[in-house]
Amino acid sequence: MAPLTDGTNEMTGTPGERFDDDRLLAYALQLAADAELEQALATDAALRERLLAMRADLGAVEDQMRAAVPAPEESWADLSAARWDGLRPYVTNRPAPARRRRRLGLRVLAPVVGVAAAAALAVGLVLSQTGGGGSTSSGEFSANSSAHVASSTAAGLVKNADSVADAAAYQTAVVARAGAVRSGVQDFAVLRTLKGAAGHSVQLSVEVGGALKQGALALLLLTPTDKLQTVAPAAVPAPSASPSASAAQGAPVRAPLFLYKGTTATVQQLPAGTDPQAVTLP
Amino acid sequence: MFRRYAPRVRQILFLQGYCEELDDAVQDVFIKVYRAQLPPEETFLAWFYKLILNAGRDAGRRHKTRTSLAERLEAQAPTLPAAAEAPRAADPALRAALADLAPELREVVALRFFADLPLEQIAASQDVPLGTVKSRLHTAMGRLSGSLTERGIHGSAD
Repeated sequence: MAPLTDGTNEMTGTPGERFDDDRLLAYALQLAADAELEQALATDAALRERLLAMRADLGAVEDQMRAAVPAPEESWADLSAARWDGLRPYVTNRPAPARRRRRLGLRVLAPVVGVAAAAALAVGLVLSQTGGGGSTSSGEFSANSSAHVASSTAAGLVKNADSVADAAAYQTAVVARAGAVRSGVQDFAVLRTLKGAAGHSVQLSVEVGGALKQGALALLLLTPTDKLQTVAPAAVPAPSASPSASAAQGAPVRAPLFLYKGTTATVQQLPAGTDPQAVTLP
Repeated sequence: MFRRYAPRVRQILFLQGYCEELDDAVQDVFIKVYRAQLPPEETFLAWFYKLILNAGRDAGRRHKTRTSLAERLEAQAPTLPAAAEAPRAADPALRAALADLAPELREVVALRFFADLPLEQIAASQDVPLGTVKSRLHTAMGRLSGSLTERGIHGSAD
C-alpha cells in the first residue's frame, strides 16, 4: 500500500493532501461515494497514481489471503467420502452407482432374508412344540410370519409394536428420518428430540428383520431404562442369540430388532406425511 | 448446493479461527441447513452465512482450540492440498496480520473475499449496522495491507 502520508503533497499543499490514505482506502474498497475525491482524481495525476497503487496493494492482499486459506481440492466435497457420513441421511436422493447398489443389496438383504426365514422357521418350531397358534398349523404360522417379516422388509414397516409404545421405559425419544444402510447399520437423521438428548444423527444396528425404507419417518426410543430391563427382559432376544437357539430355549422371537449402542431400540415407523412437530409420545 | 458452498464454508470457518475440526464443523453447518425451515429466498444468503458464523462461534465455545490460528495458517498448506489455481504461499507477515485481527474483523474479510457477499449481506449476517461493517472492513484491510507494505511487498498496478 502507499505510504500513510504523502510527503510531497504535504509540503506543497496541493489538493492531494486533503485525501489521506484512509479516505483513499475507503474509496478503493467502495465503502463510500466520494464526489470530492472523484473530482480531484480528474485533475490530479499524483492522486490517481496513489489510488492505483492502493488498489494494487489491495489486490495483493486478496491474493495473499487466498494463498493463506486455499480452497480445498474438488474431491474434498465429494459426498461419498467417509468424512461426510453424518450428512448421508439428508442426502437420500443421490442414486448410488449400480455396482455399489448391487453390493449393498447383497450385503444387507441377504442376511436379512436369511434371518427372517430362520426366525419364521423357529417360530413355527416353537409353536409346533408347544401347541400354540390355536387352530393355525405350524406351517401356516411359519408362512404367515415369514410373509410378515418379508412385507416389513419390503415396505420398510416395523411391526414390533407389542414391545413398543412404553416411552417411559426409554431414556431418549426422537423423531427421525431413516437414511441409508451400510454394513447392517442404518443412519437416522434426528429431526426432533422428544425426550432425553440426542445428536444430529443416530446409527442403529439392524439385527433382525429389516431396515426402514430410506426417507421414512420414525419414532425412535433409545437407551432402555432399568424399568424396561426388569419389566421385559425376555421381550427381545439377546442380539447374539440366533433365532433357532432362542427357539430351542422357548424364547419369543420378534422381528425386526434394532440395537443402539448395544441396547435394544424401538423403532416405530410413522405414517407418510406426518408432521414431525406434531408427534407426541404415546 | 454442498459442492458449491462447502469449500467456502470451510474457508470462512477456518479464517474465523474458532474451530480446528473443520470438516466436522462444515458437516454440522449443512446438517443444520438440511434440517432447518429455510427462509425466503431474498434473505437466504444472510441467514446461511449467519448460521455459518454462529456454528463457528459455537464450536469455539464447545472446544478449546489446541493451536492458535497463526499456527494453523502456517500449517495450512501441507495439511490441505490447494486447488491448482491457488497462488503461491502467503507471506508470513500477512499470515501474522490475519491471525492478529479481531475475530469480527476476520469474519468481515472472510465474508467479503471468500463468500463475495455485498456489504449489506455481511451486515445482516453479523447482525450489525452497515456502517460497522464498513468500518471493520476498512480497519482490517488497512492492517493487512500495512503488513505487506512494511515488508516492502506491493501489488502490481497493471
